[in-house]
Amino acid sequence: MTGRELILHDLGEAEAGAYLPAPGPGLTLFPALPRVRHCLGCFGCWVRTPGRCVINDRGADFAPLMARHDRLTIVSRLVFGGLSGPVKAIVDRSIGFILPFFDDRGGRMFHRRRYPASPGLRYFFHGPRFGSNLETAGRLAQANRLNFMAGSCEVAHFPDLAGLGEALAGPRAAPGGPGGALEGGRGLMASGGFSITGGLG
Amino acid sequence: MGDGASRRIGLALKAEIGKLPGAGEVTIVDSGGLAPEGLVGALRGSRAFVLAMPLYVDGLPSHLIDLLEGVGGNFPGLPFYAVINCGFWESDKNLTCVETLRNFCLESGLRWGQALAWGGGGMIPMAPPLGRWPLRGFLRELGILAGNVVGGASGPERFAVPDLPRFLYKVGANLNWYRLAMKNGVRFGDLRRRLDG
Repeated sequence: MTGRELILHDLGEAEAGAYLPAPGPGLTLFPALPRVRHCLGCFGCWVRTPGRCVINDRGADFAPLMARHDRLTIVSRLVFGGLSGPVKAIVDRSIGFILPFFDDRGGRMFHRRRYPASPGLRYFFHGPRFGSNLETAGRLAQANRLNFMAGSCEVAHFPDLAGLGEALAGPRAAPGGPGGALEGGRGLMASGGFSITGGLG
Repeated sequence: MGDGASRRIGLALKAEIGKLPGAGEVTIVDSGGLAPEGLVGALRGSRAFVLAMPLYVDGLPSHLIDLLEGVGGNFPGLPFYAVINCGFWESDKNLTCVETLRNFCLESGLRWGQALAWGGGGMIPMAPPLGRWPLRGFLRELGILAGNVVGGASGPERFAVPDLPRFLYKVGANLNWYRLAMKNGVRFGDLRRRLDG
């Protein structure tokens, strides 16, 4: 079985065509634009339509899609050390991927998993950096990894989209695990752990 | 603002600010449906910007990201304060979001004031008013924040959780999901359904 990759991105149509790999067997692209409605905080994805957002637009498709892929790569403009609004709108509405019930792990409270496995996570930020934004983004990604119970998490920043495109053209995700090392020695490989790389491209 | 907890926090903070001499007018703006220009308009002439928000997937809710980007460099030196609440017990789970807001201030030229980081936020929409058990401590914290807002002062991050045992909060929170499922006519077994087929 080949790995299945899901790429959530906030690129426009022309940029996506130029820099993202073409979708096909084992690769799903999910554009954050045109943007979906923002999360209402209603918890309907937990207690009304479990596993799926109650708002009836394509944003509701994302949580079930996560469950069908081995790796999720989030391509986002770096905003204050976090995700861009359009990307975050998708992520906010994906908490149906996990259960509402709290469990303790390592003495701290987390939500329980809904699915037997979680995709590995990659955060590819693009655009200008400011101050310690990338470091904040690394901590955000690590928090997400713990909450979504991902086996791995990688964070990288690409000042220009050409570098991003090269990174995405690398090997596909391995089934049930993190992605392979990138070419050219600019790897940001982490297996079962966490890595952060800045200044690629 | 936005969710039930944030609205309650905003109203309670407004009341605490109102008790202080020299407080001035407090305007509460709901972020739901607000355009970036709307926030900029609301901030014009303000002495401080106070944000009350729930933690969304370890960070800012998406619509807030857009609103804050819209602030741009329009308000150099404006003091900024935040009250962030999360449903987890551990109040420090809000810290990455606090960092994000500090970055926002740095980029936008606002002056960092203070952040309150609250755990156990699931109780806030449901429990007795802030200031009564088990949320007495939360009102005390808002009083401290109100003093800094009115005085234009800064302060370190402050953390708070409800005044009850952690295990009780967890049991109550988990039972509450079943209560909400019943209210919505969802069978308990369906709460765990999978959609990966």
